[in-house]
Amino acid sequence: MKRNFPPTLHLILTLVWLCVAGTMIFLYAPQELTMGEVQRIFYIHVASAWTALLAYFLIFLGSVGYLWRRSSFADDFAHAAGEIGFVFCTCVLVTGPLWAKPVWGIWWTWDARLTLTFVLWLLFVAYLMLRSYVINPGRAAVLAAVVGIIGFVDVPIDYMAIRWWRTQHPQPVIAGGEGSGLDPRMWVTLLVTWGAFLCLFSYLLRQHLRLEALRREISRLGRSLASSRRA
Amino acid sequence: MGNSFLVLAYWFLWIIFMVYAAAIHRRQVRLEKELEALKNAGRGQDASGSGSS
Repeated sequence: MKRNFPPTLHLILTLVWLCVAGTMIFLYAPQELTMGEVQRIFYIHVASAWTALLAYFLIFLGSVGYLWRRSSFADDFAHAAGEIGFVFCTCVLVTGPLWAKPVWGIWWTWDARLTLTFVLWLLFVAYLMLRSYVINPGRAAVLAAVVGIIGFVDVPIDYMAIRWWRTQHPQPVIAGGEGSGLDPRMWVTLLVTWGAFLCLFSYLLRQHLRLEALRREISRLGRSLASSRRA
Repeated sequence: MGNSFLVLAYWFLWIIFMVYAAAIHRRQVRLEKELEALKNAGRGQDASGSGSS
């Protein structure tokens, strides 16, 4: 990946894609009839939510990989996905209330979808806190992997919450059955925005993986220096 | 009123990602410096080791 796709090019692609998504959101996507302009929050809110769910799925995969193979790459991958997923999940929890207030008249309500998304955010926090506060790196990786695997239970329930229960949160417009659906231009805009977010996610992921590689290299060099001093 | 919420949401998104990307970059620069310092220390140790032998 490093050889074929330089990080600078990746960053430029991400910025261009984000600009295209922004242009489509404001100039191409039609205005929603009842909510008006504020409905345009939908594109970043939904795209952030999908990316946060995907990030937790990647934590799950990395955690399984680490416990199964003790692969340091899988551990780094899960850690990176956790930190970036936390940022995306924070975006969901901020853009949601900013959309809810003018439309519902309230910032927040403890319905199933909102509560489970908040739980997902807490899981990201717990995962990152474990990684920061447990001193032994091997132990931190094992504990974080266990949280990553157990916490994944929240992801499908969160996704299905609006299908299983009556919620204040709107019913699904995507794969929501009869009566649901989006204007084709809204669909395209949503997919382009999600694509831009995935590009941003992958850029941040590879930057974070580079950080982890540097950390491991420093720790390896530090150990070899210390042992050669003792000898 | 709705438009100010829209603007706030988009501003928040840009700011959080700019701050996060800058934080990763800053950490990378710090670690690269640390790695360079360690490499220099290793070279110094090798040189003094070969000089004393």
